[in-house]
Amino acid sequence: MLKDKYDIVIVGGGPAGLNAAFYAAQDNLDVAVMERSREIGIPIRCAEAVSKNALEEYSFIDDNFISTLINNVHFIAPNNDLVEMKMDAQVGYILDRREYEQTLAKKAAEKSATICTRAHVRGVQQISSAPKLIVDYAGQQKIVETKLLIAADGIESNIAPEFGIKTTLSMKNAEACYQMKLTNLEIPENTLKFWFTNDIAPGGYIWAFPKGPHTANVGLGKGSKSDNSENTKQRLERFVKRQYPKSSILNTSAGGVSVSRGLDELVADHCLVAGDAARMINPLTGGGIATALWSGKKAGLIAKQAILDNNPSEKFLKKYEKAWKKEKDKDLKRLFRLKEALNKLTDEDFNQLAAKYKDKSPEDVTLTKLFTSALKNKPGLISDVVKLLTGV
Amino acid sequence: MIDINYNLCDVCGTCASVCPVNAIEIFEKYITINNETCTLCRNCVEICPVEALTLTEETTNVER
Repeated sequence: MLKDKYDIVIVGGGPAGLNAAFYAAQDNLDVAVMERSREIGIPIRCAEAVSKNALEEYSFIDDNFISTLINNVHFIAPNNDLVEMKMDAQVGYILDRREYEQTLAKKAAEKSATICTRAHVRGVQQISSAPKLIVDYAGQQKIVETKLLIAADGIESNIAPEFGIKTTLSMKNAEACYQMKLTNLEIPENTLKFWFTNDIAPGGYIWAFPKGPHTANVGLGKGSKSDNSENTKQRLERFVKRQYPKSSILNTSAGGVSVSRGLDELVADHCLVAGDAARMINPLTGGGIATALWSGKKAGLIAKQAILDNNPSEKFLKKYEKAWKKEKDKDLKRLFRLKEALNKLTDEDFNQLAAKYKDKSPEDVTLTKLFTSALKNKPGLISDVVKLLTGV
Repeated sequence: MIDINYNLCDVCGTCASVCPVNAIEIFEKYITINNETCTLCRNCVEICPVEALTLTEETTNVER
């Protein structure tokens, strides 16, 4: 049930919002997550890959929401040459996002957060000492007062702009994706597959991530300023027809991804913005779960402190922005520079790169080597690669 | 104005992410575009992964 007043309202029950609720909640605080959908964990607009490190550091690991362990990567060039890479040091998982988010929601609720589904925060009626939110809930419109709001409403990011935080993506920095969960296909276990081809996925790539035997999330992202003669869905259909002609489709979903440098401003009086809504997405891979969890944890902890100190001011909340700048922002900007450079590679460049590595042992192929070869005409970016991959 | 093909729209919210005036609202099963604030910039039309949005030529937001 919805109350009239909260200390903290979190808009959006995805990984960022639920993790924020978990870290903000404690017995004497009223913390609510308002999720527009009728169920936590759906719809899934995500390829569901995340690194083990990120789960361990900002969340937790439980077998019930892990679909597949990943320790191998295939890069496939336009001419179908394959480069295989072992990634023993940086293993990852394909999640069952629905199960994961339901587990996160239960953990947050156990710490006294309230999870409200079918609660759609439409906007802000008034920003004063306690902002009044307009909420559609159970067929009625209600006004809900909150001292602090965490905007974790995903790619559309409608709420933060109401507090004066500009989140609109430029067309250059937005990518449209389309994904199918396919079954009856042959895909190696424990392996992420990536295809690079400007014919099918200009300014992006195609992925296939295993979800158990003979099943995978197969998707495509393309740059929005690239060739628009075919839409994203049509491009994926063309690829699947070629690559997995005998497969069947279990579900389809469209989705948008930020491939930007991130936002300059993440806070305003009474408001923090987190996750996809804050454009905290790896612009090279399009992966957003890890940074969503990071930001949910940070935003939750700082929001809780702001309420306990009775100071939900922009000045206090700047702590969150500073933490982002210190811990994550530099890497995001490095990834953005790499993305810009890799976007200039032609199909011939990808073929040459694959030719160099296709006969090497998977244990001898590393991301550092691949990037160094790919960026041989851009030596200035090599230090970005080294810093990203070694953390130095 | 921007015409929405509800049969094609997947309600993914990508359009709203590139709307410079926050005119697109995403509900659980459909989207809306506020014609009063829409500037007809076409960002949403260009980015939609399933081509569910089209700019209809016969009306502009002046004639609305």
